[in-house]
Amino acid sequence: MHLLLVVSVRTPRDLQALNARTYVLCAIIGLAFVLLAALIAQLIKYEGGSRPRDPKQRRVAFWGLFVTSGATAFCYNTFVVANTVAINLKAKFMSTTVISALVTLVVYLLLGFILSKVFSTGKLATWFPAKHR
Amino acid sequence: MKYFVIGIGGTGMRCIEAFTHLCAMGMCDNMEIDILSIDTDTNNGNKGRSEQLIERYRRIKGGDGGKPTANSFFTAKINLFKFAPEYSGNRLTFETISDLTSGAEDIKRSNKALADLFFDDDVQKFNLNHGYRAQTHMGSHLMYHAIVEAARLVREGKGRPEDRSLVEFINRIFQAGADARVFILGSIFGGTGASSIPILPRALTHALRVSDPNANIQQAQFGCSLLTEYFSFTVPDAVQTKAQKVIANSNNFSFNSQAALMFYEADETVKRTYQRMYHVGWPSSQRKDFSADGKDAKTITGGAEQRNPCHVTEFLCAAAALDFFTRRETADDKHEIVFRSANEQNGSFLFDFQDFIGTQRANDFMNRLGALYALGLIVINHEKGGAGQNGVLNLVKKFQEFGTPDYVNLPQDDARDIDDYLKAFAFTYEGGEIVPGWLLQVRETVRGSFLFSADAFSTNYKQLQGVHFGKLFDDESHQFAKKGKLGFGAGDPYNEFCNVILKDQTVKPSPEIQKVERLNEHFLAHTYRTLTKLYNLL
Repeated sequence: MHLLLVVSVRTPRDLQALNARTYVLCAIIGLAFVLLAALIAQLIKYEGGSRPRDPKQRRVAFWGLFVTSGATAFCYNTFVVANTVAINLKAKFMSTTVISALVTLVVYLLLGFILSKVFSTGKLATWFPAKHR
Repeated sequence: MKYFVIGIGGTGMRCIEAFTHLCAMGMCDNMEIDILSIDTDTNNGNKGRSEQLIERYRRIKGGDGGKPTANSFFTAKINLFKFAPEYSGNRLTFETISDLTSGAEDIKRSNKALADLFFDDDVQKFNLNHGYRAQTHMGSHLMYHAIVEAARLVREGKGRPEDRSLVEFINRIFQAGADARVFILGSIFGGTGASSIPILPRALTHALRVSDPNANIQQAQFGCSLLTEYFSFTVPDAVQTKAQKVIANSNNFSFNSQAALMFYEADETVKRTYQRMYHVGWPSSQRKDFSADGKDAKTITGGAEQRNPCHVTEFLCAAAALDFFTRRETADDKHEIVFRSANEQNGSFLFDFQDFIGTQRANDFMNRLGALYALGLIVINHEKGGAGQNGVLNLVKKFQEFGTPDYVNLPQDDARDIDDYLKAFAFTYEGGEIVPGWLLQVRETVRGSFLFSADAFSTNYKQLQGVHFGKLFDDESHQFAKKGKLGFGAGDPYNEFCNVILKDQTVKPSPEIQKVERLNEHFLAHTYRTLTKLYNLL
């Protein structure tokens, strides 16, 4: 069964509105992914010993989801949302897909950094570990 | 109050060991305790182990400069004094010490005749460097004179370090006056303890009077353990008996105990000297064989080979000392002999916390012992201390990793001392086998239940590695991490411990409540408060 996407963006005004919605949605995607990263971080248990693996596991999950969030935003906009844009406006929308992916990444990174510092004694602290003597 | 503990002989050494662990749990808040170890056998394995343990404890407290703390682990300050009569060189036997073979002929004959009235010839001639070998009549005589002689030598400027240590200890009792509480730990069925308990208060007084004829320590309160036979060892065969001539025989321990108890019950001097005596016994059917499960080919008379495992009766004696120190005096205090019993079912004891400490402090004891054992499990199992790593240092690094640099400057040696202490207290691993520490050794001597849940003391290597320290107690209201996330599976107590210690500000050390100054004591106080919160006992 094919998903029928209706071309709803036909005018520059429509495109402007779509761009605004796209940026907001991508910010929300960034937020959702960072919350997912936080949940995964909480599920990863503390490990003891001289070389515990859990901090690295949380960092790998964090950066992995960082890449995934940007890719998700980009792919969604490129392969789904772009099909609702009229052919004559599509080229202009492609720059939006790139910028919106960057928005996702920035929101993810910023929120991740803030959460890491706010919860500096918790598991999220390992995303951006402080350097101590 | 000023507190003094004297441990005498092999059993006394193990009782001191148990008492030191009581201090490590934190049962002696705000106390400074002077401990004197007395043994005739300077190479005795148990003596070495106890003294090494106390030295490690003292290093954790900061040595001579340490201070008593409260509501934490290692709260008491312990000062260690050591004394051993000199039985070496030309002082190896009663005969040579008493100079029976020197002087004019008539003098020699008179001295020998007098000595023969009290001691058999073999007893006068056996080698004393492994102790008195259950010859308590001679042991009492020799120990008394050894103590007084030590004081004399110190006054003359000729004393050995052990002599000076003993004299310093006695002077501290004297200075404490009526505030002094002195508790003597030892057995009454063996050699050194049985010999020394009856004469020790008098010997200390007379030693004091060597320097000051008017001084006395009669104002001090004295208590002691009356520990009757609880172990056996390989009985000497005819060959060994003939070779050694005088040798302890564990088959006689019951008779020795009975005779000693009759003496303590009737002797007026003892009654005037000791305010309280704690009778601790053990069923003869459950006596522990200390001769390596019966595999020792011969009786071990002493020395480094005598390194007997710990027993629950020694723990009870240590608890008795604590009771003596903390009891409230009453106006009509008089000499009394007390005892404690524990529930028994089908020949097995069902030890509970109040059996050691009484009902008033049972919860406190439960919390402190549970918390120290839990810390041991964390350090040994979770932080890989049992795998040869410095488990405490690994735990300290966690703070660094998770944004709390509180203990980043904790010296490695301090961390190592705590790590080693916890292994001596609980257990460690070596070559895939469990090496039981004090607590596991004590548990092994009890057939029935022992304080914690059955799984807490597994003898299986894999099971011990996986002990759930959140479920040490059977009562579910004192368990934590009972279930996993979303209610599935078993919870992870280590994860919960880390969550609380790293994030909960209310469990940080409190200078007012805990009085800790040194960094390692801050760390210990922090772990104590965390585990106390998790167990929800206080």
